[in-house]
Amino acid sequence: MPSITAENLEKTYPGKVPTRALRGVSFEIFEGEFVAIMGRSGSGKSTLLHQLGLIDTPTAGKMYIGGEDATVLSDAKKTEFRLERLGYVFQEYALIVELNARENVWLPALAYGKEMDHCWEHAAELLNLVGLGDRLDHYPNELSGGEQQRVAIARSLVNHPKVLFADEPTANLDSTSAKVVLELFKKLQKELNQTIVMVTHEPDDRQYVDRVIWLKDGLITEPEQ
Amino acid sequence: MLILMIFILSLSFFNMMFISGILTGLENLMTRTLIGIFSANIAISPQETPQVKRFIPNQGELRARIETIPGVIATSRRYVFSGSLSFDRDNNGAFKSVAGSVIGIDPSDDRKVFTIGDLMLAGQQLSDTDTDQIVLSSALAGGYGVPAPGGDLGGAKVGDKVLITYQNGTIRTYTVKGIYNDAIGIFQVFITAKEAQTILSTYDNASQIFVKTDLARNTLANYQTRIKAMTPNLKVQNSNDLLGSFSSFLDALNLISYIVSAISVLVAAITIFVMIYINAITKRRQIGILRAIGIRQRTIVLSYVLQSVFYALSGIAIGSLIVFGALVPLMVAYPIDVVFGKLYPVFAEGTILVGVMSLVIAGLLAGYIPARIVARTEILKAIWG
Repeated sequence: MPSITAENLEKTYPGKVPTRALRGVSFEIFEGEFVAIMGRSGSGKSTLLHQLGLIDTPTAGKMYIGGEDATVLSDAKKTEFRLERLGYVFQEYALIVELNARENVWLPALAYGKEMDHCWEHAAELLNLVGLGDRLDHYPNELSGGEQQRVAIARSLVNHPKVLFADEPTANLDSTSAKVVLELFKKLQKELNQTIVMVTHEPDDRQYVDRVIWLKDGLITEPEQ
Repeated sequence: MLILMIFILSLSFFNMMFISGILTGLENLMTRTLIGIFSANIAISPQETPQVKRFIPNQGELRARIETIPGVIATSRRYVFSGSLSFDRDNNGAFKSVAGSVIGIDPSDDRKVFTIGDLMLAGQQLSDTDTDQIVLSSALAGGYGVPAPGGDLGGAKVGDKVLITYQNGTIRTYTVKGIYNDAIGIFQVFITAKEAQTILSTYDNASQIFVKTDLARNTLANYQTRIKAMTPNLKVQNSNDLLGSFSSFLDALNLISYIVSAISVLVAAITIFVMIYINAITKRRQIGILRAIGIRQRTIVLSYVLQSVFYALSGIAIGSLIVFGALVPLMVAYPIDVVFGKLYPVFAEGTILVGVMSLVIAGLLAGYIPARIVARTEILKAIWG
């Protein structure tokens, strides 16, 4: 059964001249797959990820996540869905600067209502998993970009998401840190059978993923040469 | 910024408490003073229907019965009539004359009911056997700065001779034994009841009987009812009835207190609103991220509401420290001298509770509204602007 199914997904941004960012996109992503969404700037890849990650609402089309129709969910249900079933990694890490690494990871679990002590331990385990076991008490400004991104990945995993979305997670990283992050995704796929959907514009990232969904002008297209 | 906001909130609370405390203190002081010099707790007047009587007969026996009511502290009778006072300040035959109320009292009984003794500006109070001495109100004596639109005696002092011409034609000369601070400009002269009886040719009567009661033991209305039951033909009024003309002034004081409190709450609410709004706007991206990772909108709003309530409580705590920890003890030790006596702030528990609750509710609303506005922004707009 597919983890994600998109059927004729469309997104039009209103304005004096409406912008059709997605023009009817259909695809399936299966459980345990590591998929990259690639394309040129303005092709609609980030827009697609925002729809899949339920942080934006498509104009038309259907979208099923874990078999459930995500296009009919209310705002409150979408929030619940994001918290309980999805993980999201942003390009700019998006950590809470007032919280240390462990607290950043702990926060979504706490919001989920899980047992506090257990979450606290689980946050440490996840930071160990991403190689930051010795940085638990460090604040974001005490961590490098790559380390902050790994904290963000640990945070996205804390509620055991069905799908992990990553929006250009290596765009702000040097090549060494980028490699660490991508290898971490690969490790999560292998060890946790984690479904991962990543937007990237780096051609080299293709070597880490199982499959690439190419986008051009809001439509799925053939791989670019 | 945070310290400044808490400082402003503490000043708002201070303002609200201090102004209402001072106005309540003034109200209490005025009421206490007026009861102490003017009305007592209960006043009994002669029969009005079916026939108007001038005096209450057998006052001694009636007072003895009233004093058997549990909670009645003391009673006193007074003769009240009018006279014209004349005073030749410069001993040159140029008398200055003023009309005034002549009050005949039994000094030792009167002291148990009224507090005029506490207000003596000069000289002494009357004693029971005095017949040729008087005590003047400061308004009547003149020279004490009390407004006297109808004129005064021009500065009569203790030891001066004052002539009183009574309505029945009797003229007597008295020595001023004392002058008391009447505070509200009442033209009164006190003589003894013994002297009044010789002028009025009466005995064991009274124009009014005044009763001092223990209000901790029973209510004013209850005392009034019990006394009325004993004196069905007489007019029995309590201090609230007698001070009715001052109630509008007291209402005005209350209104001022409410307005000042409302403005303080408004200032506090606006301060919190602005701070929370700026804070939330500044952290809009962070709020967007929190929502993107699944933190519920109401949790985010709640965090800001708790933050604003914390600010409000901090303001209340610091404001309370300033008011109740420093200013009130200082003002109780060194009260302000006003015409009525010593003024210091008085706080009812209800007033403090209302003040605290008002600020907390203002904090809740002022935190909720801006947090809700910002938290409702679309996630992508919040994160990327």
